[in-house]
Amino acid sequence: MSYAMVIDLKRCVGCNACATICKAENGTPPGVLRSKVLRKETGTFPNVRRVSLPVLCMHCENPPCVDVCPSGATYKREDGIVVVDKEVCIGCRACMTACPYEARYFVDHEGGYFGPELTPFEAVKYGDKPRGVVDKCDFCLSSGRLERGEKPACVQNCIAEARFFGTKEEMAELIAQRGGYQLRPELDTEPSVYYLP
Amino acid sequence: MKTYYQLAVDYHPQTAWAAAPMWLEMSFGALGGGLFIVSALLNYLPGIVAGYLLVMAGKGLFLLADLGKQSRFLYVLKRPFHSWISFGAWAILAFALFGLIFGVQVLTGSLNGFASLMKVLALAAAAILIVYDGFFLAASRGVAAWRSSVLPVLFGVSSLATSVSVALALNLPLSTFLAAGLFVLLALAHFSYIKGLMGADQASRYSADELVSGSLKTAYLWVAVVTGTLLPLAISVVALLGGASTGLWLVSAVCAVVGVFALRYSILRGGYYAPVL
Repeated sequence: MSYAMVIDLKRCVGCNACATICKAENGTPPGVLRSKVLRKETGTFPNVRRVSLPVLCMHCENPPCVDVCPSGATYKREDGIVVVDKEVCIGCRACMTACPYEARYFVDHEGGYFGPELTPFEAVKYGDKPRGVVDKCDFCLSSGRLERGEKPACVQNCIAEARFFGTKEEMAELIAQRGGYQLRPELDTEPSVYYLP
Repeated sequence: MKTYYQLAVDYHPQTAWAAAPMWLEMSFGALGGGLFIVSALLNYLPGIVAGYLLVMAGKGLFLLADLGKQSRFLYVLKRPFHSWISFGAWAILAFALFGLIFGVQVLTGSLNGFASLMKVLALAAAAILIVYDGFFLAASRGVAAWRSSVLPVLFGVSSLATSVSVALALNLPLSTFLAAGLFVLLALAHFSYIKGLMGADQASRYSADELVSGSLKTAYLWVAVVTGTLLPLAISVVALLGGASTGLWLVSAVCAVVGVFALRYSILRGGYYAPVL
């Protein structure tokens, strides 16, 4: 069983609720964005088009980050989730340059969002994200949502219901029906995150 | 000033390996490894010691400084058959051991069979040190400009050419032809690298533009190529034709050393991500 996520770009309005709730759920430090929304405007007035593209770790079948990790801190689980063992990560950042989706962040914060002294929330949440290691999306594995049978926070809280999460078998029909595609397929990373046009 | 989102949807430089410790450790490793190789082949003890110290102190310290968790540095040894960084770490360890033993053998004048074995092993480790940077950069799938098979050659030849230039400045018995040949190879490697980038994907072409005519033109074109490669080449040709003074070789050596630093700096800074969107 391997997890996959599908994002319907027809429904996505680029509101950043996913990025915000990811921050709240996982308590990521300043400078770390496990989930973000990219926006691009093309064309000239009046024919202007804006595209919003939510991006996160693609949890690739052939993860380039796992290949280059010298300490084995980054590995792919049997359920397809690519994780970083923060107790083993040496912070060399090889995985960051290996990832073509820029899904990884180096934790280098001093203090929290409100100054050098951490808030009670930050003091708890930053505990498993020590300074000097690399962090990334883990489909809310570390926050315990998957264990509780819940979907990742970004999926649960999307206001447009543009995100879907389940096993690859569960997502297969949706991907086939709507012509789902992966980002940068030429790199043979085989992402587990699909986009519906 | 570009916002975060503008950067993420446009070609933008990698920042993970942009800080000084990274290109300094690569540069010291190149200088030290190359100097050790040339000196060991000539059994020139001061060069052996200098090369050894440049690697162990220069490369070693900056490598440690670059890690996010220095206390876990031994974990870098865990996957030598999967990760070039891990393989390079083992090479540093081997160099530390065999280079030290060989150096002591040379110091004490015990140039026996055991010393020869240590020399071979130390030379092998040093050879890995001067090229493996190119291999671990080439493994970074996110940065198109680094995925070039020319990079290890470029780094290796840069290191050797500089070391030969330094050796000639120290009046060591080396052929001028060797220096000229290496700098010709280095010039060809530069040309081959840029040509390869220009013929590859959009992100690679973007990097090539930055290196040759953009924000990195001074560091790459003027310092790494002209000062660090072509000028020493010109001095080598002058030496071949009519002989060069020690002072001229010294100029060549200084230019080549500066070129080593500039090359690694500009290759790291010139690594661009293709936009995801």
